[in-house]
Amino acid sequence: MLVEKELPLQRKLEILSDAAKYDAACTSSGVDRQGAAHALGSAAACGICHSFAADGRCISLLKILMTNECVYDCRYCINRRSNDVERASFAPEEICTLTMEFYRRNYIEGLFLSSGVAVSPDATMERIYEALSLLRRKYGFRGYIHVKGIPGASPELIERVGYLADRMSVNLELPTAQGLKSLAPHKSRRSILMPMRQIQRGICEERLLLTDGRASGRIPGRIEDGRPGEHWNSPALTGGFGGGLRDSGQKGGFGETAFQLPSVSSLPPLEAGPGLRRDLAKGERPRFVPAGQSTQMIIGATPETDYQILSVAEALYQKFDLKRVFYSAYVGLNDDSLLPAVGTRPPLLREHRLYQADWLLRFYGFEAGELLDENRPNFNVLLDPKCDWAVRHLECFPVEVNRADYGTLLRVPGIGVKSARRIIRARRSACLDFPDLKKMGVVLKRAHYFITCAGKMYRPVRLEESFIAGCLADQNRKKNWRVEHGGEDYRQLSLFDDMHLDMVPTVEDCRSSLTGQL
Amino acid sequence: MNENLHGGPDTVLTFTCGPEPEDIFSAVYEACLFSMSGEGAALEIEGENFQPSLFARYLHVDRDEKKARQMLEMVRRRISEEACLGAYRASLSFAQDRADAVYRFVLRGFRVGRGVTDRLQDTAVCRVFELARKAANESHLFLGFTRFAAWDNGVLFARIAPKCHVLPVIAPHFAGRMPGENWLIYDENRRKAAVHPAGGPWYMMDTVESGWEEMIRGRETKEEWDALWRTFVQHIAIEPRTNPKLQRGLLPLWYRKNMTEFLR
Repeated sequence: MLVEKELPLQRKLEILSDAAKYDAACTSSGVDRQGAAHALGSAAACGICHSFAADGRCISLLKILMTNECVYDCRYCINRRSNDVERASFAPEEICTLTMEFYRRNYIEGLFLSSGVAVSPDATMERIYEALSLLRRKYGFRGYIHVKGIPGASPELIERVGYLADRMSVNLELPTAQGLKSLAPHKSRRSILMPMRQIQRGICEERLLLTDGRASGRIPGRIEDGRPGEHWNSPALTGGFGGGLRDSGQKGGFGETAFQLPSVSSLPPLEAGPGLRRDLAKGERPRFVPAGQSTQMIIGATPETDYQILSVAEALYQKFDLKRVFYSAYVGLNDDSLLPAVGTRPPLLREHRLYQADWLLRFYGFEAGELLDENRPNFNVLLDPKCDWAVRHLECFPVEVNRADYGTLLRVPGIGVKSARRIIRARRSACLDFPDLKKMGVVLKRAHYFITCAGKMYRPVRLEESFIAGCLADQNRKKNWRVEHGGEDYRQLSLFDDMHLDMVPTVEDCRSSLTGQL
Repeated sequence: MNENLHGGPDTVLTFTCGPEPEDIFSAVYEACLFSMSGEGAALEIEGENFQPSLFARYLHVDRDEKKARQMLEMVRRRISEEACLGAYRASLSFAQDRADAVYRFVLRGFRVGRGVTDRLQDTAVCRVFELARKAANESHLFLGFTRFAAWDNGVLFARIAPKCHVLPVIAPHFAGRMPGENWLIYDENRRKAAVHPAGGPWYMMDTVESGWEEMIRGRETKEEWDALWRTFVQHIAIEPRTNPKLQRGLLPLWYRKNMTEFLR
């Protein structure tokens, strides 16, 4: 490992943004924070995209690694120990200046800080804490901060960092424990779920503080957003996650590193909750991870089925209260016998289908078991998951638009969250007909097989699975090809296309306004 | 309103006004007063592709901020907050028929009351919300796509060329976000600027006859942060996923005109 100490800032930025780009998350949503006099920054709950990169992904945050040095050797990762790549590290001050100057020019909405594991998880997390603390306290930055929780870092450090960040994420990496074991020998399912659970608890306590001012005691049956509470005590996931676990990995033993780190004990002792919460800004109580946590799974590096992946995502939403699960199509980077060959096309259509299904779980009231099962473990390549579900359940259709409830309308292909709400509003004063639906944004091309307006169908249609599936697949064929093959003719990830969510990715967490309906 | 304005059955009285919300709501005010007589009226915006018709009589309405504010307040009280916001946003859009759309919506609202905003199947309502959405969406995008550059004196300057009139929406956002900075955002299409002195409130400025263009041209320089930002944007893209068409769909070319990362 060659470490050149003084690389120019430009070169460091090249290396460390290159190394960070495989993380899919780049959302700046979930928290509203007003600006303050003599400080820079605010946050908008809907999130703001500042640019779009050549791959069509949104750029909202300055997404960088603190360092791409790593003592781990995860097979799928470009920064693994055994790869001979140029290594670099940012000093905390450098991160702060970059963030502040980019932010002033409105290039970014905030910072997304991640890091390779240099020396040990604790040392890395501490270094991250140092940078964030400087940014929030010395520079007075009030913009958005998304930070990675390093698996294996001590709970105290995670807590400290959580009070400085808006969102935290711990990557699950691979959907099953076996996959993780074979590809990421230094990480364990346990070391990943531990911090996730801790962050979840912290957020929950925070909510209790906000709702009734009493922090202690048991968690009530229902949390504000209406998620059933029994998940919190699910024995399958809580069992075995006692406190005091410290998995510091290979502490030391990897030669000289680019930075010297103080040990945990040299930091001021951790105060009890309220004390720590007071120190961000006067008169304003800092909140713990107010924008919630997210995670990411790599798709296509291991042989898991879509059903397994989606079930894991569902469990994460229900049991860990995650805001988002991201899916990242595996890009062949490393030559490794356990991985797809270098240069294998990333499975973009599969990733796209997973995102579509993810939306169905979060906003449309579907369950993973309805979309896929043991016998049909993978998504239909020709039809999006919602159409696929509908043609297999023709007994539920057609639906009368003027009478059906919100939940039923949401299950009609071609009707999305917005158009369903518009229908509910509009039919109070009139009996709706097909042209009215069109005005409201319903995609009749897909919807007309499944609805009636005042008892009439759009045009006579055989309610027959193979016939309708054939018609819908024809509409999708060209687009599916584009999604899979990328390049010039391709409008992937416009979920907004397929599902008619007509807002840009910011819709992602405007969930607060939607959950009431689901 | 003058009696002789009421003409024969085959001529419609058309009120004409300037392009901004204040102009539009002043004209809506007059048109509403006029239509209380039971006769229909129409509204048109002057300038922008205005084509007079033989069968209409035209009456120009001057901007009157008091009337405009009164009109908005009336919509808020007699219809609803949502209607007021919808009508205001629609007036910020760039559609040629925006003044007329707002007028028709307001008339319908006065007749129906609160429930008017639920009538999404009604063309008069649907159109206003369509325009409002257009303006709101574009404003939202400019919250992200506006790029500042620091002048030598520390002032942050941004140039934008939006289709809708987004300044009144985005300026408060930046005022909240950067209260301690001197900044200004210049809309080169409308030749207006939002100016924010550090620590103070922002205000709108007309820049038509002030030698403004020359002043800013002289100050625009390259900064090291430009280059760093370009580096970042370039390196954050994943090569095997390159997809210019998707990028164009999400960030159409016309937006890129003033965006640092796309300038050469």
